[in-house]
Amino acid sequence: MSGFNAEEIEQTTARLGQVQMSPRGAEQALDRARVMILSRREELQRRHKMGRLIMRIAIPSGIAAAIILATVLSVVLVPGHQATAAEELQQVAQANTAYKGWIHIHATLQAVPGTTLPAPKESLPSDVWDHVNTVDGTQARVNVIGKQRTMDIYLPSRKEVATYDSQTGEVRWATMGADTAKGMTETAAMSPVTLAQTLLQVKKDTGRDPEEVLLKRENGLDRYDITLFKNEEEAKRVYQERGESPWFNKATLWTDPQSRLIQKMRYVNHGMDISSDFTYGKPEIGDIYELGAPKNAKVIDNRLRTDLAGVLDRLAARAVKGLGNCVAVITMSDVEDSSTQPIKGGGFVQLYEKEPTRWFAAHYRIGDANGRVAKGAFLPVAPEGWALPDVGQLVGQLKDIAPSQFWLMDGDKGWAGWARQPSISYDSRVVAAKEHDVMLAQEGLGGAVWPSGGGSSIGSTDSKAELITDPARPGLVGITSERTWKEQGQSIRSESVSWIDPTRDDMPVEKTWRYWVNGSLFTETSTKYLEYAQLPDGQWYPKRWVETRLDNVPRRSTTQLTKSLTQYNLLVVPNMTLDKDWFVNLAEKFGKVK
Amino acid sequence: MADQSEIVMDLLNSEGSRLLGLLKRLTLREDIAQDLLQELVIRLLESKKFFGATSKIAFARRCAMNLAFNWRRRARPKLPGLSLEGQADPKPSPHQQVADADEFQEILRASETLSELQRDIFILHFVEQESYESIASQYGKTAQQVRGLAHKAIEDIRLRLNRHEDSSQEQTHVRV
Repeated sequence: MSGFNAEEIEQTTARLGQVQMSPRGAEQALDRARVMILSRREELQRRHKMGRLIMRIAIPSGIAAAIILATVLSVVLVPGHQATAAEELQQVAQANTAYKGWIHIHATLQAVPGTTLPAPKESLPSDVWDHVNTVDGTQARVNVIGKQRTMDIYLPSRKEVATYDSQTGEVRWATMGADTAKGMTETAAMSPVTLAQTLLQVKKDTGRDPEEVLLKRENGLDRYDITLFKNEEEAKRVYQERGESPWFNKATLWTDPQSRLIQKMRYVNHGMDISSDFTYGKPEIGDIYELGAPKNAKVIDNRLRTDLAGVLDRLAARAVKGLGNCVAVITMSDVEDSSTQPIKGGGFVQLYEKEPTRWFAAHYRIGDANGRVAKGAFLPVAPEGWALPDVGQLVGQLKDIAPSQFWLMDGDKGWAGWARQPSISYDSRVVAAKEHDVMLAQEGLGGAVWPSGGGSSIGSTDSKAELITDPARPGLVGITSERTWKEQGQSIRSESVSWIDPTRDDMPVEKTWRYWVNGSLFTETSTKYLEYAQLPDGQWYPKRWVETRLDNVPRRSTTQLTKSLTQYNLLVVPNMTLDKDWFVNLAEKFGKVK
Repeated sequence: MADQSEIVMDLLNSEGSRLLGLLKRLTLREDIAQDLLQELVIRLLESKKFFGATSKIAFARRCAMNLAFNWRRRARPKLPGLSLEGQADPKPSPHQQVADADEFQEILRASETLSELQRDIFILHFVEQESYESIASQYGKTAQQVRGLAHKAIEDIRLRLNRHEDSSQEQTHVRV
């Protein structure tokens, strides 16, 4: 090209714009990228056990939506021109919260013409039946997607879960962990409080009460037309700022004027117009077959044998008890091999505290190598003696640092929060009294020390688990779990093995987790516990362990193996306590919460 | 809390092909575009800014452009070896493909010298054919400002290409 002029440059760049990937090359690259994301997601879910638990104990969406609206609006509305509607709605909230027993909701979903759906229309359900028993936590759901019918039922009183899929024709059974079962039972009763607190955030986000509540009588029912936000833009902005999927902005509730129980509800969410009908009381559902699964369906029984269930219950109890009353720190730092000092003067710290009536857990960054974190959200210089710092000194240094995650309870109240970087703001929620043990077992020190069902795939109907022994590991007991499933067109398998020592308070000895995609090993982590110690009361605890992680990063025609080692040190100071200033909502203390 | 990997997966499913196309156009190498997409996904999964970004696709494209130009800087000595496989139909003749590849490479090389903002605007408007208004909303500028920066970019590239042309001719002359 000689003597370029502006027009020629524009023409050439326009031709450049026509260059495309070959379809096959694009497909390969996108598949590899999907595999990478799936691997990360599985790993995150494995690491953040609470996320998994919350997912399992989430109440059916129709009920959640109804309860959220009824409860939240009753809390946030103030007397004024909407006083009558607010007072009426408050009674609706009280009646629905007080109701104990079965709630059945049949939702029909229709795509709103001209809107973008969250998934291809043919993959979205047209009918959903939700059933929940607020007394014992039983929850069941039936989804109709075209000709396919899927069902699941969670039975916390029996610690069992069952699913049915008309496409496979299989009924699958699994065992729920004790913590999950307990969580489901308690959450069914206390959900309105928690969810109401979550939506109270609406007021914080917008600085005002919901935009409008209108009440009128219609066909013998009270009809409430509720608008949360000024317009769709504000709704979108608020949800986006909070890093949440958009919920709805407008909803209509119909309630019975006498009982005040919700009878109908309608709202538009994600391009779907959702209408729900509510009924209360019978039928009582205690089985997958009562949901409509054919009695001659093939049964795949992945329920745990009694011996394994017993071990998991014992580990769950140890996780709640933890190491007694103490302050403890787990430092995490990169090392080159299991005998070396940290590669760089930083990493992560998990700080724990437990007293008879309160407990605390938070994660902090030490040093910020990549500069992506806001000032104040990390301890810039690693404490003296890293990675075995003086606990008292470290606690003093962390007091003014914003944690990346936290969970804490003081008596009957508590908070949990997850920081959103680079600015310091949090997604946070109130932790209710009934979540005390469940949360403590998952996120407290005990959850970091002992393996649990929540950290593996145990409890999923597509996973198998068993208790094993090995002559090469005399006296140890192994818990294995294996899960296979399909996702985004990929065939995925994950395996985990945890070895514990029953003679030393079930101390973890070794654990391995492997993640396979289409038959190829994608990620493997193996943890070896290297040193142990005993507290004055004789309780064992692990002092040092090293996790080795191998990743097969996909490349064009091969994979690139990456290896990293992380060393963990646990430092425990029995009977030390954190002062009361730590037991506040850290999201409000540190976050730029509007 | 929204599942972060879910957001990246959604983006990949809806915009993955476009992002790959952009990477291919900026590197002119199918294999490199494939690798850079993996890098991009890792960055997005690990980037807190991405999850706070108002426009996820705009953030991802900016990230993709940076990755591609970083690769160009690293790979400069070995840049020839172009792959225009996948060029839209009707495909140019082999001769035209080679000529095109040379010209694309020259323009991309010249665009490396622009400021990051100018370079992004140049690529988005002239290569990706995006409107000034759309780019303006992504970069917090007015459409008028974007138009100005785009034309300044064209002018800078033109000057650079012609200077390069002049200096090549000069060198040839000296050699003769």
